[in-house]
Amino acid sequence: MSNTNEKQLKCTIEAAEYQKAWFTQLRKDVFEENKPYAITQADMPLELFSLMGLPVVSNQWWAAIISAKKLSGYYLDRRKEMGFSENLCSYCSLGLVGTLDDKPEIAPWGGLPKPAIMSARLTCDCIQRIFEIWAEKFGTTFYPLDSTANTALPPKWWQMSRNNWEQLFQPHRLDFMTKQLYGLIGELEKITGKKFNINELKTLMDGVNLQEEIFEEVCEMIATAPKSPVRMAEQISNVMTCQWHRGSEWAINHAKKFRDEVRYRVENNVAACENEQIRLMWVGAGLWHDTGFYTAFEEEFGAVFVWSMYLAFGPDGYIRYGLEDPMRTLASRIVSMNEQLHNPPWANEWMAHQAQKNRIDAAIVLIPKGTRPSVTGSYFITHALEKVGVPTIEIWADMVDGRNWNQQEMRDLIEDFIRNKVKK
Amino acid sequence: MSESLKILEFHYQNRTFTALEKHKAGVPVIGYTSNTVPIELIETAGFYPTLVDANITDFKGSDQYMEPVFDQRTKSIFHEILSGKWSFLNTLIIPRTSEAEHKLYLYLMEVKRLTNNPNIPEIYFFDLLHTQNPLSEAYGFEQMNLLDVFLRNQQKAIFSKENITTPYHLPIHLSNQIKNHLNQLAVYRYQSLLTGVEAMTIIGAMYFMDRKDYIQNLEIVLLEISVRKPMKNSQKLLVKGNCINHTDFHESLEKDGNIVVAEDDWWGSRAGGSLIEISENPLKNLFDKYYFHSPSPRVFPMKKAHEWLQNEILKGVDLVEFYLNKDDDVLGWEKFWVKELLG
Ligand code: SF4
Ligand code: SF4
Repeated sequence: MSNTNEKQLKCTIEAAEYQKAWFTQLRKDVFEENKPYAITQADMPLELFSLMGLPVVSNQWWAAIISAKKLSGYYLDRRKEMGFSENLCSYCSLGLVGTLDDKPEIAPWGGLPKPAIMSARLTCDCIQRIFEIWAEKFGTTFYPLDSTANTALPPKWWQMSRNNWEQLFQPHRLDFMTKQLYGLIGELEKITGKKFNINELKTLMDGVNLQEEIFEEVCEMIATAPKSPVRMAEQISNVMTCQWHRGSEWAINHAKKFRDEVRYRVENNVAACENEQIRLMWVGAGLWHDTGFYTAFEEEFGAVFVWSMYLAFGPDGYIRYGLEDPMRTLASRIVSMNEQLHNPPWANEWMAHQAQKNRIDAAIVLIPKGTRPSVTGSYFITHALEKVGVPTIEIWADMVDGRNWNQQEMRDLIEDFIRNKVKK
Repeated sequence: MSESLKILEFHYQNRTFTALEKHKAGVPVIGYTSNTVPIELIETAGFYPTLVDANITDFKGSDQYMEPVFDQRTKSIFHEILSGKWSFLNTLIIPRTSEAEHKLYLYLMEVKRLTNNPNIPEIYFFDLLHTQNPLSEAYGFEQMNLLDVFLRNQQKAIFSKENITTPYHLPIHLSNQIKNHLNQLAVYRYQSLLTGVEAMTIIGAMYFMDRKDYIQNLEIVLLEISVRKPMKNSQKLLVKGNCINHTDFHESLEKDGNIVVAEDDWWGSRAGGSLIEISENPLKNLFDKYYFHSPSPRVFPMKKAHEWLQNEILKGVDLVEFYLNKDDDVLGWEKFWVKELLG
């Protein structure tokens, strides 16, 4: 049995190093040299910020840092003391509380300095409040992107999203989002003094397509190889680092390295876990405070996590062909992101399709109370998976707040599930 | 209690009564789930509009689809629609007044797709946005026009040709009459002429009655209230919070002699408010009212959302009480802001 903590792929270490170096630079630029930067939600058109040369700290990523530094408990207690009710979302609000708390000696790296702009898509009703209070405290601009709803909801969105996105995402919604994006560009031009160039956007969008096509090759290999060549945690590290810098030369090259290493392993019959007998699917965001969970069932059961949305969503969610109007194409990429991942019918249909494609034996569905959009749609996902013969178990836990996570209890629960519900 | 007040109370408590009567009498009924659906358009198209509301606690059957994090009202509506209580509706219009309603729409559509549940009526999603900027405004106006077209088509499909269309201005005029009366009621509340519980009942009945009947009874009730002697009360309270579709909270606040004089909620004081303009472009006038002046958890920026509250507390409110249900994940954020507002 291999050491489950070890990184099996060279590129995983490289990705981590790149991200670390990138962040060191960001820290230097932002925290030490006070260069302008932005705080945004993760589902924003990061492409525009990157083109305009404005570094982004994503709210969710910062929450993950806070949680990795074991500060989420402290901030959630502080939030209560400040008079906010306990039931409010935790994932999106840790950063805000850090700023309100204003204790550089406690916050990671002294806390976030004032951003030049904050921006978020108004998917849920709370996010505008979080960002508005936050921006007011910083004394900075909050530029929201309003969120329209899809009313056509055709089945099998992933078969339409690449070429037929105009119809899938509805022209009136794309018109609206495109106009909003031009508004955002106007703000970014003011901040950076740089002039937006649509041809640069087209080049970047081409790059994103290429990167996601490479990821698609990896998806195919994982789905068809007798045993998964790469552990889920390593998939996530490689993919997310690339997505973060999507379309850039580094990201494309790194995606290639990742693909090549995976291909080498497949060609040489190297499995992530030799003992693979049960293929597990992880539904939901990452469990950032207990990543050991993802390998905990390999030794006894040969149960290996082979799938999470992070890799699979790359090709299906990001690829867009037809770049005549790259801004509109970009609008189509972000206009429904939450709908594809969390809302019926799209999320459940896609997950069931992915489970079948990846020969999944069982699925674990994380339902995080502290992050509303990841909760909604969960039951439809569970039903859809069960319907295609995939036994599921739901675990109600928070991905950033580790305080109520009982490691042993959770492992026992899953072991029980595997013993009693999953056929080998 | 006067006869008219009793009638209003009856309808406040028996929320499907009139809608069912209309349905039995052959009048097609269109349901809507909250305050940003222009009922004037529904009436213009010849339908009877009724607010779809429910307040139950047993969700057995529907809880296999809807996770417990939803608020009680949304869960209740979802449950009752699945179980057939609203199957008589011709159409259900769900606006994007809150994210919970957006999800309600998606969940209903999905259950219908998966199970063919015949209880679920035709659903129309009214994608009215609430961020206050020119882009959202233009988008919203387009949506308002689309809703009108949809209703016209429904009308054509259902009624025979000889059915005469009500001109837009009649329902608008009716709305303005009601608003005038409710604004008068709001004044009486500050004069301590009625309790908050009574006010909630009187206002809320509007959503479940034929509006002409409602006005008749409302006028009598107002007359009766105007000659009352003011109550002695210790503190004047304003309630802010999640949809208050019941009187329990007001009862608990008023049992010690306090009086609730206003609510920052469409179930209470904000059912009245400014009148709808009447011009050559009634769709635009309706849009302006619903887009600029309707309370919704999605109104942005907060300054705009809190304008009403800011004005209201100047009228002599002693205390703002928050009504947050245990599932709230939205308004809890505002406590912070309101505290600052009140100093
Ligand atoms: S995974 Fe879901 S909750 Fe997380 S950022 Fe994406 S859309 Fe939002
Ligand atoms: S509902 Fe969503 S976007 Fe809003 S705060 Fe919660 S997790 Fe964040």
